Amino acid sequence: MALEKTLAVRYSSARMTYEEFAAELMRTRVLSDPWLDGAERFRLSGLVLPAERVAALATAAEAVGALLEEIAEVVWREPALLDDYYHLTPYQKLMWLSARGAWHGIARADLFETEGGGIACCEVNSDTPSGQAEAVLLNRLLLGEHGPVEDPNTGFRDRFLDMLRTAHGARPIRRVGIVYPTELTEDLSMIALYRDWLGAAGIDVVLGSPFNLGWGLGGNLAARGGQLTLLGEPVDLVLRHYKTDWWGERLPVWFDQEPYPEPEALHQPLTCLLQASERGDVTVVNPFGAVITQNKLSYALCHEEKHRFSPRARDAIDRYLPETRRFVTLDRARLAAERTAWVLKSDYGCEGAETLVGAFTAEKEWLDALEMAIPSRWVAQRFFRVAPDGDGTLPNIGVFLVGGTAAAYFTRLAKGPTSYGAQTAPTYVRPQFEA
Amino acid sequence: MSETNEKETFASWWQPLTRREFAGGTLAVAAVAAVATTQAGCCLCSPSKPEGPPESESVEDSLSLQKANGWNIGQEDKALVLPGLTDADSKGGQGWRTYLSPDALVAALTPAAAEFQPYFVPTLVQALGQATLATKMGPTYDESMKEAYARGESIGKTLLPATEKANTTLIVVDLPGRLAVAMGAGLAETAHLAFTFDNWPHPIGVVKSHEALGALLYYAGEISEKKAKLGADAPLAMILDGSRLSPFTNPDTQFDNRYVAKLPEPGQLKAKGIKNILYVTPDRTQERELDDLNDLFVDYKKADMQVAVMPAADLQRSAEPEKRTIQTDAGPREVVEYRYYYGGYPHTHFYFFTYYPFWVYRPAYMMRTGIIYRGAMRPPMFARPMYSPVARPTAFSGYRMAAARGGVGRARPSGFGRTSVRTSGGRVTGVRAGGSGSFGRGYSG
Repeated sequence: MALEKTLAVRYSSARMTYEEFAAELMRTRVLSDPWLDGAERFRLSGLVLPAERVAALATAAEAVGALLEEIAEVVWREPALLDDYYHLTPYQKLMWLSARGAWHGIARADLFETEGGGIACCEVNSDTPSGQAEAVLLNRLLLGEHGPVEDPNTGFRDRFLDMLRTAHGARPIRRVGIVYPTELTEDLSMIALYRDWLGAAGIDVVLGSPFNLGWGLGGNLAARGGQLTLLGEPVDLVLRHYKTDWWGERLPVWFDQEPYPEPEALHQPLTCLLQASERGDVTVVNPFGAVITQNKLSYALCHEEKHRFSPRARDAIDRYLPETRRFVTLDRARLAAERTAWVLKSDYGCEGAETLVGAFTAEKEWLDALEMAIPSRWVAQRFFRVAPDGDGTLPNIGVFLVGGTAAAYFTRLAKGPTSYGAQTAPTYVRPQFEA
Repeated sequence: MSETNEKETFASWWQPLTRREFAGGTLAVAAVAAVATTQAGCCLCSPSKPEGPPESESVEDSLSLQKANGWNIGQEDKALVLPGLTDADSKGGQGWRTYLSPDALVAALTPAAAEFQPYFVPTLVQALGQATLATKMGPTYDESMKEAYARGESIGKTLLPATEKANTTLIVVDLPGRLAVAMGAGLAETAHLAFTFDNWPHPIGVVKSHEALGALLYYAGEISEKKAKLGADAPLAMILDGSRLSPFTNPDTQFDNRYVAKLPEPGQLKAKGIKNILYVTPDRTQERELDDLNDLFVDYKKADMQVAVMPAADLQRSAEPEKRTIQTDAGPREVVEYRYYYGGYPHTHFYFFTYYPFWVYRPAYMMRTGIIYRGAMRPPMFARPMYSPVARPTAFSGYRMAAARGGVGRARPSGFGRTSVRTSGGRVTGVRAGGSGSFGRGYSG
């Protein structure tokens, strides 16, 4: 698309000092960590994109979202793939079948502008996407610092709530249970944002972990029947921010990796939730079918089995999805020789975790990884060069898809692969009359 | 800003409640009788005569006594009660008469796979060598057997075919004798059967093994036919009589023909690639192994083998009848039957694999099962039995023998499977059970 080549990203200066911003940020009582390991987590100078560029990003993200839906269809029609291609565990298969392949409510497609001027999508977090709080609050706090720009994320809350209501059907949503790993703090800001959004919409919220799910007023996990509860409170909808691979059996991806301390699937919480969902008592967002779309082997399926897909999907594969192959189909010697041309990703690794970018990885570490990776659990994705911004950072523009359409934008900047330590910048749209 | 605002709110493909179906829409679980009147005059059991050699009392192994003195020692004239006695076998014919010969029945029941033959215990079948027993025996069949058979078929035809490497799991069916046989017959098309009935019937036996023998006669022809078609990689199912440890409460009215089960040692199973045990109990009133298996099951666990309990009653009858054609000696016959599903419904059936994950489930194989499956999987209305073998003191603790000879072995605790007799001049003159002989006049203590 010519549009993809016409306009480069541009940063706008902010006048606020970081300390002033940090004070503002903490007053939100949602985002409370302006610094990470002593370094600034946020960049005050935002990414200001022309409207056409935003439209191109939205088109790309939506095309990849539609592609994931086709992947779900392909796998649903050919259940042998669950074993032969994905090597799913019993509980993972249970999740997929019980959800009938439904996978989506909200997702985040991570897009990059390539040196060639195109848009590449390295992966989509279709399971438990995060960054919502940063996307909304950072944009709001710094909007006045960027002159005549528009905030593309102002409608995010309403779109999200509409999606939940649509997912739940005609029934009222009285109480939402947000299920997340309560022992981890990384995504607390997102949980707080969801709680605020839902509360403002008159919906009660209860927070808890999978272990707090139960039945009836007693919240007894082992009992059967009655209403699904979280911490003893009946819930109509569960916002699932607990990764599918954590609900199932936890298996190492490296030959020399210690087994997980608790490798068993979360049998009772999972079956409790699946049963309530199947009975129609509770809506789960995202549905458990994400166990397939979140699996990186799905990207390999697109390239290795391209004939299974529609012309539209094939176009999206060619246009946006870097060549991806299963590790088991590639010659290890070739991967060793072509280190800088490939990125290794485990099936359920996310972002920095279990992702090795050959171009940014020392040769010995790369060779060790090739030796120790359990082949069936890994893919190799063709490395692509990202067009850097002025100071050499590589913008990763996350486009939130809500119900399959673009709803918000979330920019992270890193010198190398995007990891938890990447800086976040606000994302704005330059009105069309300025372009 | 972006064109998103002018478009549909959500993508056309996004349906919050995706109603996907599987391809093609088809995929798609005695009391012992009162003391009989002892008949005097039998040479073995006649009251000792005052003028004969003095009597001595001893406790003997029940089976040895039966082998030496007849299967119905002490109760020679007592009728053998056979509930469900019928005139035809499972194939609708008279083929069962062939199997009144112990050799023929042993041949029919011996596992087709040589590696499993050591696990077959022919003791009960060999009792047919007693002419007075063979003439009393016939095939038996009742509704409870029909149900057990259907449950066996449910495992054999709809669970095993949906799994990969089913032969890594040993199925242990531990149900009351005739039901265990019926379930085994239902499994026979997909599993090698090793029957382990290690006693003889007795008219007042505490274990009604004649009922199991009647069931064997009913299904022998069918089992024989099915085993001939089994693949070498079919799993092993060991068939135990769950009433082998029936309460023995009154030595005066009951004959103690109890016995302990014989199952392979962990090392033997592992050498055959068997890593898991699926222990089938009658229902949820029994959610752990019987006492005589405790030591062994704990050892299975110590050997990193997974042991799981499945109550047979968890395979429940569907509310919807299905017509199907069965082969009988008189030709094909259409019957209306009810399938048994895990949890009672097609949509709960494959949840079995969630509860018993050591059977590696292949959704792609669901086509093989013939189950009409039109919905998402749902959990059944019961939870997975929470079970793990735990050592507990039982009457059998520490009695297991090392089965070094390649088969299976087990010792019995004292006072188990034994009978008090009085002998005189090397002959049995009375049997306490039933009060035969001199026992009929009183117990000396």
